[in-house]
Amino acid sequence: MADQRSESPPATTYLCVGTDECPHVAELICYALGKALSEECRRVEAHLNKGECGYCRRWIDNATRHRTEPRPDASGKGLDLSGIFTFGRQPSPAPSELTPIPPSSRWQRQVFIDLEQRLTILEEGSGG
Amino acid sequence: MPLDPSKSLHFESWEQLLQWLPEANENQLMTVFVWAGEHQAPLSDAPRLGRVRKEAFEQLVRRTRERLARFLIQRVHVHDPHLVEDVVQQVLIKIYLRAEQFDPKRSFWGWVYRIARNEYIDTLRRTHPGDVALGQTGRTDEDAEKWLENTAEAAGTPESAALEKEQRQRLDAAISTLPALQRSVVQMKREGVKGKDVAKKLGISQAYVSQLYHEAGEVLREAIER
Repeated sequence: MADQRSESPPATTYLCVGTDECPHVAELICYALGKALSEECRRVEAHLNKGECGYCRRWIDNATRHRTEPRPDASGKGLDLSGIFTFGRQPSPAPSELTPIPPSSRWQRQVFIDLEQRLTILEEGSGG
Repeated sequence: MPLDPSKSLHFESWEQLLQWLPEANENQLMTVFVWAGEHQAPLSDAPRLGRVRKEAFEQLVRRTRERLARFLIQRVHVHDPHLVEDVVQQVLIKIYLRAEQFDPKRSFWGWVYRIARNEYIDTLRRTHPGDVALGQTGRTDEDAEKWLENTAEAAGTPESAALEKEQRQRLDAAISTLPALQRSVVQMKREGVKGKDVAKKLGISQAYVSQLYHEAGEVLREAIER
């Protein structure tokens, strides 16, 4: 079996590199799709305005291709999605339709149990 | 606070969950990412839930970028660095957008490599319309399934026996990391069981057997030749 690694430079030389100051990639994608929270927008724009970050700019350009709505105006104002807690994946229901959210600690326990169950099912499937 | 090894999948706090993420495998990270996107949090928990989701995806990005680039360079024979970077990013963006479509019981890397190959072909079609060879772009003489079959056979000269033994050991180790159903498919096919018999024994369709086997070939070949 030919060793193709000897024919090509290392994969890392093909990739742009970010810095510790770069926002999370998920934030960049959300920003490009117009689904970022105001605070996230501010963070991304502050980072971009600091200096040309090719790494982040590339993520935003690539993610923008998947955008279905027009980009925000030039002022860069982010969408205020403070009423939506799930990154705009689904349209926000009217307030009268929202299920009352239980107190934080109880809610946290419930969602953690949900996560643990999913991970346990995954483990059992892998060990199969 | 580190997780109790006897309760490795039990979380008492957001911090504990965040601490665990670097130790999670890719299928677990996808599970966390999807989970965090599905729940509506009270105001006090929303930032933490958001942070878990972002960190889970960031872990996936860190682990995927270089490996995906290597796959594109070595398996799909992409040599344009700009194209490699763009395809890698597009694949990760698609993972982000299609996360709910991923079945965590299947091979993460098989899914990713399939998206990557398709993304590369789509990119070429956009930039080189009318190129009739694109269906074969990047394929080597042996496709992933043939490669898998060939490695299962006892082959090679006495001089390469040691190398082959090492490769078979690495292959066996890599097979053991596959999800259970996919592992069964690969093992049965290596034993010479025909696809329709594999399907019958496992209670799945023949098309599904082919898909699992093909995905496994991509994953295992990459794991061995890393």
